[in-house]
Amino acid sequence: MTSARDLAAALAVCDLLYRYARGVDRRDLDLVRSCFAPGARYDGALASGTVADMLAALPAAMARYAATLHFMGEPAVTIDGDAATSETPTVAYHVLRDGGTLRTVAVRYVDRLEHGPDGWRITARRVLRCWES
Amino acid sequence: MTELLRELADRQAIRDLVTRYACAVDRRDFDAVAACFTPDAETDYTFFAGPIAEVLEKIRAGVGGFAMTMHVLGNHLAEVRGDTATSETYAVCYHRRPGVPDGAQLVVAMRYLDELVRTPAGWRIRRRRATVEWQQHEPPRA
Repeated sequence: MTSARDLAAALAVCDLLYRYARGVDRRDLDLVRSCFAPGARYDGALASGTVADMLAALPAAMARYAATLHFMGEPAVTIDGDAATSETPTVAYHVLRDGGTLRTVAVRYVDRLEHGPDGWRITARRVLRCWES
Repeated sequence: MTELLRELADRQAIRDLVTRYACAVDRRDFDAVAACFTPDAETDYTFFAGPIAEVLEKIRAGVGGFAMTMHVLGNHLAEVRGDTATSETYAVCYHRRPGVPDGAQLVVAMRYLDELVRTPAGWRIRRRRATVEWQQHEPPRA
């Protein structure tokens, strides 16, 4: 049976994943940074390296759009003590600066996470690109 | 109840409330919509704003112009502080045009920014701001 502690951990991981989306969509780079452990591995369209590489690429990527909405489905979270894995299907809507053309990119965030003194943090993220329209 | 269970229960109750609102609008159950708010709630839906009693009529008229709506909810974050809370919920809302069999629709993406309060009857929304992130008119299929 799932313990109350595991339920709370799964909720905290979901909160973290949604905070990432909030950070990107509100252009709050500090909030995005706070979702990752320092030195976290990152593999996606923005960078293939560490979270520092992703954070360096993010402002220019965000500046191309009037708004973004990283619309997430329910994350599939597995808690194992102070470690966790999660996978989050996401439809990321990008509003172009041309007056509102919509670019839709569907991805799956595949994450490894660890619980430390500052709560849960992503230690490795792979962004699997699914389709674009 | 332990503090941890209480927090989990509050989080679930708030998520349920926001979800119940979306279903109630889609099912045109405006009593159930009203029951999601405190009687004195203030709301700003971008397209219209004011006390919930007035805004409820505008929501009723707004969705009444469509054959069907579906409010699909995604990202949900809430912070509970005792008997009050704040939450943010992403929504992509499909509005099906009436009388067009091939499915013209208006799609509106919003973020609901809510202030909530614990009442004797459970959590209620006392302030809501719905920000429109984008909207798109999709024509009927050719």
